[in-house]
Amino acid sequence: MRDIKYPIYIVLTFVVLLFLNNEWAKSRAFSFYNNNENVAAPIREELRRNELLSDEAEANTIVINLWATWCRPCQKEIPKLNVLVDKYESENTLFLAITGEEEAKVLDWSNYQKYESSYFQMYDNRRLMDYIFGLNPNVTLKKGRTQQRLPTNVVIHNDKILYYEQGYSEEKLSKLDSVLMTLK
Amino acid sequence: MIKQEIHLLRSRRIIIPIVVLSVAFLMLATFSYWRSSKLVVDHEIASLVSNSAFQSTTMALFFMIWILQATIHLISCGYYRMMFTFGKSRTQLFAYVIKQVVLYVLLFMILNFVIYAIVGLFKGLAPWVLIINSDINALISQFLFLFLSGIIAVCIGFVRTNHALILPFVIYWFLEGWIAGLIKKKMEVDVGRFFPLRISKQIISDQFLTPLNLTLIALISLFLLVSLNYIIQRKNLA
Repeated sequence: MRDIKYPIYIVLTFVVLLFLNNEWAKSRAFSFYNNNENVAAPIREELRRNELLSDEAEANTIVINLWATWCRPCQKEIPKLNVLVDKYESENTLFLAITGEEEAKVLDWSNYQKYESSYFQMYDNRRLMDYIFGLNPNVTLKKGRTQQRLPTNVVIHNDKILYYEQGYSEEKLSKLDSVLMTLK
Repeated sequence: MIKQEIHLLRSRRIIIPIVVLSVAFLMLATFSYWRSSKLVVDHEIASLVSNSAFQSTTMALFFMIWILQATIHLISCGYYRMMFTFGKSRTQLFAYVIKQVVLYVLLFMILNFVIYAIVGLFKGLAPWVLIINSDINALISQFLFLFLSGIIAVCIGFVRTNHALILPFVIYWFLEGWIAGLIKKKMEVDVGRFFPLRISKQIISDQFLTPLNLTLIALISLFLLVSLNYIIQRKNLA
């Protein structure tokens, strides 16, 4: 037993250094989340970092849908959200769906679904989802806690939140439609 | 220990590989600067060059060959056996070998930086520009990756003290990726991420380390260090 004491100490030191370096790199890479310039700044930065979505980073209006494959109400609202995309999509309006699940899993799930979302998709981004949950103006929980409910729909126009609703209902979708109508 | 190592480095069997390494670095650095100058200009070249240097696995291959060759030489010439004559225990030999690996990693990284700085001067880049544009996390990752690579090489050197091992090792280095790709193609199973070299290469990859990566790296380094300790405790170095 005495023989393996020193190798274990060295491995522990090595792994701790590796872990700390990894966490430090993450905090430096995502330090833009601490930017309080405006609410949309971290979202735009994440878009710029995404190869497929970087061109959409400067859209005036960002319509965000937070969802997951296991969320039944999220699936129910897809066809209704697709109608909104057809009505309001333009050069300055980005419809962005964000999920914390991996792309391969979502694409595999999509193969068995009746409706496919027309939103631009951002996969595997739990960090951005947590940030958006934290923007909820309807604070009902204790300080430091956020309500993480799906689906969540948000409209950000000129870096200000115009609409923020969690959960699925026809009234909430009508309200979203009317908010987008006023921006048209 | 430093004085001992400086004395060792003066040996022809150690200094010749260092000269060969320097030539290899010179070629790598020249190619890296040439490729970067095609893509970006001015101080951005320094950033691109330093990032590509920190993520280079070719350097690790050179390092492992050097460490393997040095270890085999130090065992064959009786240097480690001589330490027992001077009253060192096998546990102390194990600690000494680990310290040697750390020292050689630092020496290797300094040599690499000096070569890149010299080539950079010819391209109009001052050495401090290279330092300012280097990412500290990438530097630490490279140090840890080279340390793990050095431990792999030392283990192989202690298991089979034979210079003829270097060629099969180089062949395995290049084959591992191909084998992983072949298995994935035929069996649709990604076992490549469990191969030892691929696990260690995750340390310097673009992606952040996941808990699975960290666990696999911890397991492989534990296995290597326990094996090395076991071999040193039992091996007849005569």
